[in-house]
Amino acid sequence: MLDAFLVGLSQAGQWQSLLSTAIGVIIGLVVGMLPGLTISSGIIIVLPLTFTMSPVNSISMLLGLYAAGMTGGSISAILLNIPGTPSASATGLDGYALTRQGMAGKALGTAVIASFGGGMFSLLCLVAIAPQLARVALHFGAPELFTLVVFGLASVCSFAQRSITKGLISAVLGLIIMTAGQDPVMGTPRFTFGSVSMLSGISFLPAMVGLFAIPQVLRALSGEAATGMAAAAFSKITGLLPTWQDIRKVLKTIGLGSAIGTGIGIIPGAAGPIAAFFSYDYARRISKDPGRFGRGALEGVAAPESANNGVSGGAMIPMLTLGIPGDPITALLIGALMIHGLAPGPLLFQEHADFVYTVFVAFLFANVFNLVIALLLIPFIVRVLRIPRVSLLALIALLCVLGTYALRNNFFDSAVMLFFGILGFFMQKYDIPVVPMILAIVLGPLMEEHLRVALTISKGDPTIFFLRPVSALFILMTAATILTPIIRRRTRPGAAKADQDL
Amino acid sequence: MRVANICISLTLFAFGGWYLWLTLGLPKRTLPNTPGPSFMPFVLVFFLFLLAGVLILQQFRGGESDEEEASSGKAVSREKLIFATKFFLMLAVIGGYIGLIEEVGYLLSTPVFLFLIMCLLGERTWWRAVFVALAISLGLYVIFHHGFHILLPEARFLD
Repeated sequence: MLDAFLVGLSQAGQWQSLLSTAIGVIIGLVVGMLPGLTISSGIIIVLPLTFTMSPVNSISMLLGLYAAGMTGGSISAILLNIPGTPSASATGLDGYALTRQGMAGKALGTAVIASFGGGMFSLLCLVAIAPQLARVALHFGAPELFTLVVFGLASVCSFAQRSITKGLISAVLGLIIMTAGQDPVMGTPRFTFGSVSMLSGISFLPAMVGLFAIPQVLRALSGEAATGMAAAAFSKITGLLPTWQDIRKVLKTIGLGSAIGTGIGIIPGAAGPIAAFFSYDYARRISKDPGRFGRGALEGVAAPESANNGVSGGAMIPMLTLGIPGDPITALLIGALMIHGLAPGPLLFQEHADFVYTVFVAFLFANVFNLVIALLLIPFIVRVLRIPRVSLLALIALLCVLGTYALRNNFFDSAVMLFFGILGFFMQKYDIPVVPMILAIVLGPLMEEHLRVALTISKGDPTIFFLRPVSALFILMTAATILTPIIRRRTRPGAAKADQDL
Repeated sequence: MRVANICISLTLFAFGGWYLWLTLGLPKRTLPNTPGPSFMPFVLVFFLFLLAGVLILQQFRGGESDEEEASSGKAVSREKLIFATKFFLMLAVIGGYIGLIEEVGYLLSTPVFLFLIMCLLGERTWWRAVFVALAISLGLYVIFHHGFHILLPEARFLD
């Protein structure tokens, strides 16, 4: 392990990788800060630019973006009470109150330090847990892998969505879309309509770009695009570093928030916003003076920020060890790794152990750079909020087309992107979640392959999934994941409505 | 939303029927006890029909009322018409850009594309739109071409 760690350090510590990390962090802070632009959008936009980079530089940049994007969301939440990312929604409750009291700098500094704490704690868990989990997963056969993927998809459908039915519909549609092209076992062309471009199937990148980014541009048509954010709060940014007394006050909160975020991040589908609010609520409950929350308590900033950055490392545990993305962002990271010929899963730890530890070290640098760059550059980065939204959206639209073109030098992918953009717009309009579709697109070919291999092994007998203990366990977990919210809604309609409102 | 959900269900049934028809045309398995290329599509179309049926049943068991939508009246319909027009224009601009960029080339088509996008998004100052369009086009050309060595299309008519 130490050897692999040293190799990872030597690779991720090269100046090109460090520069990539720094660039990723700056992009992440900017993207996270801008309301309407999610971290996923940032990764989608940057991803095509990483095709020509080495895998190490590519993952360094993307991890920098991931870590900093979570922090960036807190900047506009604190300064403007407009969360830059959904994960920063809870941060604004106390962060903006602090800004109104003239303590924006302290709030921002606390958010950055809490983010660093959450990221580092989740990294430690990642390093400790991932290799062990990968060793266990190596013993998984096709039945276990199939039921695990089904569990991952079901979790996303049930945790994150208001309507489980629509979540499942979204997932099934995603799986249907991925049957186009060559079947993963026999290579038989399916649903290609005679098109050579369709023979290689629908690439996940144009689908993701279309589903996430294009609807943002289309939704902006509904009203006047804002010419820029209010600059009133900017003059109040002074003294980003909180005092030692302030840090001591929030240390326990950061520790608890980090643990909560990491634990929630491991569960597929239960991501940043859930972790942030859960941590905020828990911090308030255990506080000696809960009345301060919502009025400018530093713990109210530290709790959600440590949790949402804790999610980042936690989500990478199933991503790296099992190839199951913990959230949409890790789904994109899986795509990024696959583009470079590295398939996440237990075999990655066997065949590319050096790269795995490079990822660990790159994540370490991402968190450190996030801390340093954010503390140094926030007073300058916030000026980006003044850029007219019209220009940013036009840039996004252009990058969507060019980014998907760059994948295979083929504008067919850009056309696919536009199709998914229209689909994504209508899905969001009619409350059909897009996240299950995204995950289904990533996991679909694997799922089919494992299913058909398992049935081949069992000579067509489906009881193989129930007779193998681990596979049966995953089936039970899937059933519980889907049925629990349904049963809760029937027994407690009030609580169910509150869940729907989230 | 109830009417919309019913329409979604019916659309899913129609799509499922078409997908099933395509699946029936796929080659059958050639090895015994081995699921063929049509196995997964059959499984998926079954679940699609099942879920579409569940969705439609949920609407008749106490779905949301559409009274709110019905009461909005004429004030909303004009806004909807404007939005729909902009929506289709935006799609036409993006689709046209994708279709024409290889003919016209990146450097000629992109500033026009950006300018039109910004106008549709509400940019009122034409010179700012022109300046930003040119700046972004050239900036990205440098980044893609020289920074990441990704070749962007050149105009075919110049060949």
